[in-house]
Amino acid sequence: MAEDKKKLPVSYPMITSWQWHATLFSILSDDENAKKWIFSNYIQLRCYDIQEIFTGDDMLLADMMPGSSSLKLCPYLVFSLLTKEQIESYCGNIIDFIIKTIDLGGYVYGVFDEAKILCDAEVDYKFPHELFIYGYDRDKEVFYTGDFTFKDHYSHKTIPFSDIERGYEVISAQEDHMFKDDYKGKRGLYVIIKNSETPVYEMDIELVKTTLREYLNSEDTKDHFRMLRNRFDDTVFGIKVYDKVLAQIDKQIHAEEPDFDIRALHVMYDHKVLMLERLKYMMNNGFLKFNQETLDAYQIVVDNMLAARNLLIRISITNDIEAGVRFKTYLETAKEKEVSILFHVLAELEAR
Amino acid sequence: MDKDQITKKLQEVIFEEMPEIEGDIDMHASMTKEYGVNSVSLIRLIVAIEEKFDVSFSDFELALSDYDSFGDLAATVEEKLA
Repeated sequence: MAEDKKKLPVSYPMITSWQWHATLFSILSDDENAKKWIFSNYIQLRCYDIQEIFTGDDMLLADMMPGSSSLKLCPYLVFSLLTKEQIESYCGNIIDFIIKTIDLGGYVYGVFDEAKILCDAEVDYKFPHELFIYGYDRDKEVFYTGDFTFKDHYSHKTIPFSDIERGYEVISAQEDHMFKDDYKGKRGLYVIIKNSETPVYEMDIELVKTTLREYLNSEDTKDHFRMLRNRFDDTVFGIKVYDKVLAQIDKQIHAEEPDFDIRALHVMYDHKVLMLERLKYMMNNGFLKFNQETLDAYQIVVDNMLAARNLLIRISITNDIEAGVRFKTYLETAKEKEVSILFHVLAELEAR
Repeated sequence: MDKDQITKKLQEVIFEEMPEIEGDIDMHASMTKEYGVNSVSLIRLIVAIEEKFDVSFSDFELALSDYDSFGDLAATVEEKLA
């Protein structure tokens, strides 16, 4: 018998950065088996110039690897895609589909028009964005969701069934920027099932060493995956991302109409947060010798990246563009310290 | 300016910057859970505090994790004014 309400387990994600990371970490952050996969990955940073999907504005897309593919690649998630036609054929409508999926332990992920969800009034524009759905309440007719769009940061919110239905219906296959990567010309949703009871992935020190080396030498990690995609000549990797982001921030705050997009800085900050957690994990599990000095030194890297991100938020409020000179100090301090620490870590791992 | 005066003035700044807050402000309650403060709204509040109290916060003093409650912000202002 169908339940009246159900919420699948989620925790506030250790890192947020992008919706795909926030979703994966919402489901798996606290899972001891998944930590072995998480800490073996997310080491390499990359960035490249793109145009915003909806505004056409230039932006620097920075991300940790694996990027948006992480939900598909993680061995502790079963990731399925279902077309709109399948959803309607199996369940009649999207509301029943989401409820049945949650009843079966599946989280739902897909692109919705969040303009329709966020605005009570009818609006003449769309804001297609990925939404993470992890629960429902039939009495209140709401879904439990996670997203960045509701506030200035990643947060959880309930959304009425009717808004979800409306937000789903108005997006065309062409506007579904995520699904069309997997299934061109089709519209659909993803179902994600946590499958982590059986350990299938041990901490991969060989991968950590290889990726750390590539990160420190700014080498092309994507080159290993040319069977999947081979159009990334403009991508910057590793430590050089610091320079690229610094140049981008300088360009965007000094533009005729300054832009205060913090996303690249936030990704870099999350990368440092996760690296510090990785170092602690490897020390606590015997992969590295415990060394409080290393952790304290790396905390300075984290603090400088946070200061840089917060400085950009401050400038967006005060319009004190001149304060932007401080970015260089914060990013160069973080870069210098990080390189020094991670070369030592790599040397220790290679000497094992 | 004594502690009570700082608290009173800080509450005025909070009401100005966060008009969604109604009623008495619990200075000991969690800023994030009780009042929905996030990284951006905290920095907006700190910028206003700098102006109203004529103090300055470094870029390293803008972290949300450094302040559990508005009382922590009041204590930081008190230290800066001492």
